[in-house]
Amino acid sequence: MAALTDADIDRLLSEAEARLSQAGNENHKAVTVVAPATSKANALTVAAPSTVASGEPEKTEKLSARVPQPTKKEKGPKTDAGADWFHMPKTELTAELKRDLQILRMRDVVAMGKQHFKKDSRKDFVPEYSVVGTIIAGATDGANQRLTRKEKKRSIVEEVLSADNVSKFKSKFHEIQEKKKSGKKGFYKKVVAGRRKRG
Amino acid sequence: MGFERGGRGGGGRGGGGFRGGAPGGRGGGRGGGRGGAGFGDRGGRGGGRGGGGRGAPRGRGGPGGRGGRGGAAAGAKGGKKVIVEPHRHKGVFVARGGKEDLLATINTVPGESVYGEKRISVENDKKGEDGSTTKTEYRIWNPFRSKLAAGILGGLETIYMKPGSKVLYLGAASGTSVSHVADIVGPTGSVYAVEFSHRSGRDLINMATRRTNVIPIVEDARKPMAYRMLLPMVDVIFADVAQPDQARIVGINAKLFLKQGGGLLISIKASCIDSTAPPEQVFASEVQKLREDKFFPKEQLTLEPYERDHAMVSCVYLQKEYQE
Repeated sequence: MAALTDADIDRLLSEAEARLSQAGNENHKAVTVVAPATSKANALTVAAPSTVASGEPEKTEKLSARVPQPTKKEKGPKTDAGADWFHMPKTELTAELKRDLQILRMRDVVAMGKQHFKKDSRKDFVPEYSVVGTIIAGATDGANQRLTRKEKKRSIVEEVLSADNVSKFKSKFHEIQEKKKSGKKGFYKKVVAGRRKRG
Repeated sequence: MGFERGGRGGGGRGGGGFRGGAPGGRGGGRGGGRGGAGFGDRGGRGGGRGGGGRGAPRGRGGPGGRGGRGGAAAGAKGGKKVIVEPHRHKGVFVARGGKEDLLATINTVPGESVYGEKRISVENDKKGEDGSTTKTEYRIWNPFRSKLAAGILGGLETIYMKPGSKVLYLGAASGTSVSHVADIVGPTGSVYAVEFSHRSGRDLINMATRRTNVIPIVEDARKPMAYRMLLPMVDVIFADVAQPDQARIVGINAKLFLKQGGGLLISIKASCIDSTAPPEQVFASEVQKLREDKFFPKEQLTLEPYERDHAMVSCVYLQKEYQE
């Protein structure tokens, strides 16, 4: 048999449906009719496919034997990142984690100008899905690739604060404060200094 | 505090802990993508290797043993805390630490690292059946050792593979990158790793014993008929063969195994194809060859600063758009 086109198949199916629906009790006759009908149809389609295609749509609408069922998507609150990310859980925002994320955003400051980071441009600094993990050194990594027991901390903030450059942070903080604070004693001092300059 | 951001050439990737000998201007290539802050790796590539004469002379079919490539392990020390998040690409993760960001994949064999890479251990909230805490593990993916990781950090638009994909990996070598690809596709996907050299094929097979979704094939990628019985149609071909005729190798493999609308990621090493011509010219001619093999090139990016004179080209086979 010659290859059937999509239009042919559709037409044949709808014909068959029509036959089935009208057949009802006289099943036996319907079956005997089917075979010759299809073979005829095949011969016919080559000659005039366009006419058949035009008459087809209203037929298929009336018939209810084949009802296309769209696959339903499961909707509901997402609890994890899905199979594509191996079901990584939603971020469980504790106070500790929030501070960690804030410090990650301020890594530039923590590095004190020794290292530069791309600016974190996302609006919400809390990622939708995340987990907190601990690095495990490889078996061949030496002592300089591992933290000692005392150096190990529970969070990124603690790691930052335990480093020996905390005093630098403090002095930097005071430097900025001196420049930017307003009111109180600093204000009066500035006023006095201004007067002295003028006088 | 005015941070000077000069000297690192803005671009896609943002600065980070590259203390190593990463040569000159970074951030050429494409911008866009998800840069993330510095994907750090101290050490970088070891110095003293000239452009062309890197590595030992190789056997056919794939880069031979790449012993000792790519300096020290990634920056973060064992014991540091990191926050792991999903990456833009499916199956890939980013670990953000106090000093650098690291690429990571989930570890399908928890408790083991394949090539001495660092891991990230995460304690799950969900308890196991016996009430004990369960752990998830991630493995850090070093862009200096894996061209795919370098491509991802370079900002590849798509890597075509995701959990459940079937990947044909040509030039698998010892299986370091393959292990990460195997982790990306997960237990529902599979990786067919072809490597010609027996020496590195041995390591590949050892790796595959622990990862059941890896099918190691120690055969010549030029003769795909030799392993046709092992392969179904695949979604993606990743090629890292570094051979003068790599476009042809990829072409014949795609003809046999790559589905229509499947993806191709090919790493082109300019000096392996023609060491006398300028790299850009070599890349252009290779892309032209791929076009003739009915690939539709989508993007090309340099693998600087992770590899010298390498380009990663992403293509779709037989049709214009990639089909998921």
